[in-house]
Amino acid sequence: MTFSLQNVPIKRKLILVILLTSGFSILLMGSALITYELRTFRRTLTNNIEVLAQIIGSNITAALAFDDRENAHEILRALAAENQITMGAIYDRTGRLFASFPESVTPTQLPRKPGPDGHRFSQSQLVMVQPIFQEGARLGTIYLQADLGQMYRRLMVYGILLLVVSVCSTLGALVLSTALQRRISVPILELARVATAVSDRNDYSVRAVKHGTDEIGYLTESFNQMLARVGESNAALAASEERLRHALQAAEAANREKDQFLAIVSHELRTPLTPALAATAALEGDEALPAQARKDLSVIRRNIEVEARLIDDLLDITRIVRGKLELRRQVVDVRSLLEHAMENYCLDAAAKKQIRVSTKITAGQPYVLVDSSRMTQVFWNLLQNACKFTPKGGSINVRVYNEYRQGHSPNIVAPNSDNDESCDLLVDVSDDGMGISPETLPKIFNAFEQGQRSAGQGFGGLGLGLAISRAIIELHGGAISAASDGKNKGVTFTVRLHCATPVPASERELPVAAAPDAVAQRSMRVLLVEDHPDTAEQFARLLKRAGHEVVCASSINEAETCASVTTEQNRPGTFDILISDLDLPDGSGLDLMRTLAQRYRIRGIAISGHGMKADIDNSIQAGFSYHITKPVNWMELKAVIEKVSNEILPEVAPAKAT
Amino acid sequence: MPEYQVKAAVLFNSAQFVTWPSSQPADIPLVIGILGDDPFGSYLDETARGEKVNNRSLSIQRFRRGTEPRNCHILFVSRSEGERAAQIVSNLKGRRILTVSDIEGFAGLGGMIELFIEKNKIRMRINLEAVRAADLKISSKLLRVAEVMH
Repeated sequence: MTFSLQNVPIKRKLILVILLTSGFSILLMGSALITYELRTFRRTLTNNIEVLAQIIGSNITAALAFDDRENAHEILRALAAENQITMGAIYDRTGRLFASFPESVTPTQLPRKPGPDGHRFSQSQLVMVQPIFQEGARLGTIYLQADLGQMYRRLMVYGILLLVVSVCSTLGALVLSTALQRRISVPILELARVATAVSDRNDYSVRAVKHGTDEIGYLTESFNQMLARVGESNAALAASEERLRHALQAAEAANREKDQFLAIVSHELRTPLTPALAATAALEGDEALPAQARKDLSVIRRNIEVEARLIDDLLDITRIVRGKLELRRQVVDVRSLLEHAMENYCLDAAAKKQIRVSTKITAGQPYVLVDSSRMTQVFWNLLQNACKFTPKGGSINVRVYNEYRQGHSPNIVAPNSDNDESCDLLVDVSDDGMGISPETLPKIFNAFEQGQRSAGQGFGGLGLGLAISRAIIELHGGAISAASDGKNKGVTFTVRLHCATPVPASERELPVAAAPDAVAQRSMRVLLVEDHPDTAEQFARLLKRAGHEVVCASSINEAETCASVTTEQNRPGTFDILISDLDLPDGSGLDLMRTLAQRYRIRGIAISGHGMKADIDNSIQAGFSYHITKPVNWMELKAVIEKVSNEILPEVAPAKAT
Repeated sequence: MPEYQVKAAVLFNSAQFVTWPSSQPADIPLVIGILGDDPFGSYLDETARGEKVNNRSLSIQRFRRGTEPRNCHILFVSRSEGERAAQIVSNLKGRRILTVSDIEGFAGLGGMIELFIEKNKIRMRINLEAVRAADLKISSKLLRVAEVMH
């Protein structure tokens, strides 16, 4: 019953408790009464029968003494008046049956011997055996047998009475408890109703009605107080949530603004460097200047380059933070990227410190699907770091090799197999520099973390190179790791990339910056549209130095005029290439390209501060053949111009851009 | 069972239903006397041996014809004294002695208990007047099994 009692409604529980209690007490009382009655009845009966035996025994002494059976029978006949007595008998002093009652009884129904004196109860009768004395002498024994039927009848009456009382009292208790339980259950149900209302509607303003000052009343009061408190704190919570949301929005907006600001500032910081760099480079190449001046110019140029690189890193980091670093992936030979990175950024520095750079290439599948310039940047970062931290006369080892995943081996997989997922390309760059302690190792890929390598040792830089490298490698789905045996044991950086299936050589686009210089340089007529006068001037000078004819314009209007005027005065279709900034004072360079492309056969190179895929697509759609993202690297621009000239001059299949 | 064995038992038993006045000390034995020829032989001695009546031991005394029965409580008058029965009874008048006899008509002669045979059973006839005159008390129970002479 207990297991189900828990789920029974409280009113039923109360009724049940009351019924059980009253039923139990009635049962207990009834049992006590019946037990007492039984004992009393037995004692009374015993007493009665004993007295009867004594009377009979006393009266019958003479009959026994003088052997007068008739007289004995006559005396025994008096037992007929006592209807409990079913049998009676007198035994003489030798234990022989002397007389019996009633007359119908046969000696076989009576015991042959009276048995010991005293009384005995059996299931249905009481047997009383008493000695018969006369003047101290025992004359015989009286034996009486009484029926207990009367006792049982009486007990039955008691039982019935008890049953009736039980039923009546149970009914009464039921009626009473049904009426009275409401005083307990109603307030509790009221509480439950209010609690449900609160949780259903989230309404903390409802209150339970108090029914009295007992415990339930106290509970109701506490419940109401609790509701009030919860309501208050809920309101407070909602208000603080609102404040937090506002604060969060403000913080997010501020963060966006900060990123934006950082991006703009970096961009604005970088823009003046391009013409400065170009001008310095031009001056440095001017052999008319004194040797000392050119040396100083070289110092200026290198420092501008360093600063430009720092700002570029900052720009990259802001792009990574804003998730705006986009990749233009193509299948390339990683060896060419490495060569390019070494030639342009590493070998000179290494030579200065007398560092030996050795390269070991064992990879059978050197092709990877990557953004060439970004991957070059990674290799450059690693090589630059190696140079920086390797002491004079040390060595740098570069290793390029393949690793095959489980179940594959180079014997089974053909070198040019499509199954590039089974194969990784790994590039190790090891130095024998100061090494990295194990504690620092996990932190070196974090932004602005240069480990303890920089502490007081004057290694410059913002420590962004490795963070940028990691972001680039991870965007490619690869991994970069560093390992060091400890202090002064050197460091090995490992880049892991998936191998790619190489495209046929004819379709392959060579890495932009790695375009061979071998192609014969041709003179181009260039229309340069750039509103930043210094930048325009320096590009113009560099272009002229490279042997091209250059006309500068600072707006769309001016550019269109230039295009038409020169056509009239010189040859028709006079400009081969339009190099245009997209962000012009009187409109977009895209519109200029469209207009000019309609009128003349002209190719275009877009220069823009934005390098998103959408920006590049827009440029291509407008008719540009190439899109270069600022800051513009002169080498890159030069290479692109050479590509365009190669496409134009053989007069074969022109645009590949669309 | 021999007649006098039964009569000895009756004599002994009747002592149990009779009360003597309490003036006599309780520790002296209850004396049963036999006047005249003893018809019981050893029966009476056997019956009374070791028995007690009302916490008193029993003793048997035999009186010859003509002697004065003294210090006895019950006196059995033998048939040998049949002719002198009336004389004996009147001599004992005023004495507290229960007189018993199987002489025919003994009760009518003023004796207290007369034993007679009816339907092969020994019965008693009691002269209540004589008993009362001797200041003795006979239990009503005894009266129920005896024939009371009026």
